[in-house]
Amino acid sequence: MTIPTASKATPVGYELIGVKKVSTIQVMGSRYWGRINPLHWDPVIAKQEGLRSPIQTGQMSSAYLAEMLVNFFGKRVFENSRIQRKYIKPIYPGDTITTHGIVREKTPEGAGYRFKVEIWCDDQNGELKTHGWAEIHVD
Amino acid sequence: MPEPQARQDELQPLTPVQVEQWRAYADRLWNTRIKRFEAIPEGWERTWEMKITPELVIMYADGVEDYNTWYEAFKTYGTGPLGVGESPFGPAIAPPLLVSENCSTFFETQEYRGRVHGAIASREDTEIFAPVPIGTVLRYRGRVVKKFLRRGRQYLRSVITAEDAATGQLFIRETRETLCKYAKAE
Repeated sequence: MTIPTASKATPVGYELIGVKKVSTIQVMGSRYWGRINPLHWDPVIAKQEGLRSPIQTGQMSSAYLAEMLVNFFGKRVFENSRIQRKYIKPIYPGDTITTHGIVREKTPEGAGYRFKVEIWCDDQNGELKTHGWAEIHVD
Repeated sequence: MPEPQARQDELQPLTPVQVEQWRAYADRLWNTRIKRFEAIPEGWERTWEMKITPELVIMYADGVEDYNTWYEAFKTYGTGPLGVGESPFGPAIAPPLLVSENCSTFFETQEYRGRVHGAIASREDTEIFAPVPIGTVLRYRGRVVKKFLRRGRQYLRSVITAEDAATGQLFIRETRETLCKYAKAE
């Protein structure tokens, strides 16, 4: 399978191919990601604070969304782009997270276009977890 | 009837020794934490530096299972120790939101070190100006621009930039909102 990539001809309404990840408690509590904050890996403290279980750091779902964007837009994501995220609902251990992206706008910019892409991820039940927008220049 | 307390090993198998070690670690972290909404004033600023090392990038990428070879400047196997890697920009680079994630070290001052936690990310708005080659030393500048309540919960809004410490080239600018405590303020 050839992974499609962005071009100036990519139309508004185009759906990006997402990525799929399973949230695991071991990674949530790993040294880089959540170790400094027990809410990300300790069931006892998470419950004391009113959460049903530890929650993944929001930045992990941001990384999933960025991976999807790089798969489609390639190196363009790294120059003069913008990625906005709002963390809507917690991601729990065992959740299967799928990312989504749809091109919503194309605005002429220089020799190409500035693409505005709605991005989000949801879980195995379709519950919205993270939502945002990405702006990326394509020429 | 009160809800039963969570068990330390309910999400992964642990021996009694592990449970004891984990409880001690978690309780020490939690019980010595600084409540950032109360402790950190609006207008608080900090500048700090951090090197984007190959190991840091691998820890980030492995945790989210992103195996793009552009991020590989670390050779686990093979003959070389550390390489510079390859990307469309020449050497290997950091994933686009790694620097954004590292903005969360904003509060890791000597005074607060390891004690400002227990918060939850709420929103992030990241402008990316240029790729960050692995090995770059970044200079971050952060400022708490607003403290506020939203629907009874405490938030901090911060603006943080990251630039090349050697050249001053701007890499990212981010506005982020942090929910300081999950429970509603009393």
